[in-house]
Amino acid sequence: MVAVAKSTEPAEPPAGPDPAQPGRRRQPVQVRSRETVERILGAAAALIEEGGVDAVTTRAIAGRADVTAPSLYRFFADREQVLDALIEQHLERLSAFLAEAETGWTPSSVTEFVERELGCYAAYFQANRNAARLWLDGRVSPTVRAEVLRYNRRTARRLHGVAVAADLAPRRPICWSS
Amino acid sequence: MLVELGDRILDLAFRERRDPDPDVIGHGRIALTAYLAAALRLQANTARRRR
Repeated sequence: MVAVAKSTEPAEPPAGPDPAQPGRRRQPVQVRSRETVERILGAAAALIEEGGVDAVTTRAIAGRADVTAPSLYRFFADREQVLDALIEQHLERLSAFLAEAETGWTPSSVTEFVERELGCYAAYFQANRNAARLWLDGRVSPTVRAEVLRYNRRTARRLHGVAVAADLAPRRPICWSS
Repeated sequence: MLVELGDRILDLAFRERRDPDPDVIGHGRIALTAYLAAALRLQANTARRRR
């Protein structure tokens, strides 16, 4: 009799929307599921890079990622949720990129402050073309628009912190974001 | 306001382009720097007047 190794991975929850958080996409638990989600996001990114945000449809993503439609719908209810996940991924990477670029840096002037910040964003978008298109053209999507708005508010607080620490701005904030 | 302006500059710089338009980035940098310097001056003046 052959002993079957018991998987140490947690069981994948059943398909469909997350009952605990209606409207939220289901998070992948198993390694294979995470790989599928990564493939789906990679396919969406490639489609955006080639044809812009309008080129992203669930059918196109599934075809490009070589997954079946039910596999895609297991994790994403629709195209909006894929775009939402992709922009979240980019915002995490962008934050890490900015944190690294700003480590040990204290701007000595307003000019240097603006030059460095604008340069960092331009460099990230240049290296991640699909992020630029999603960030700048994807605002027709309500989820992307909401994510951009939240991120811009966080950015305003972060920039104010950098400027205060460098003694370029007073503690009481001026209007950094709308 | 600064973040929204920066966002708009990046939008213009990358529109229909793979690499950012250096002229837009250059002018954007000037505009942001001028705005921030003026806003900080304005706030400093307001604080002085209140004192």
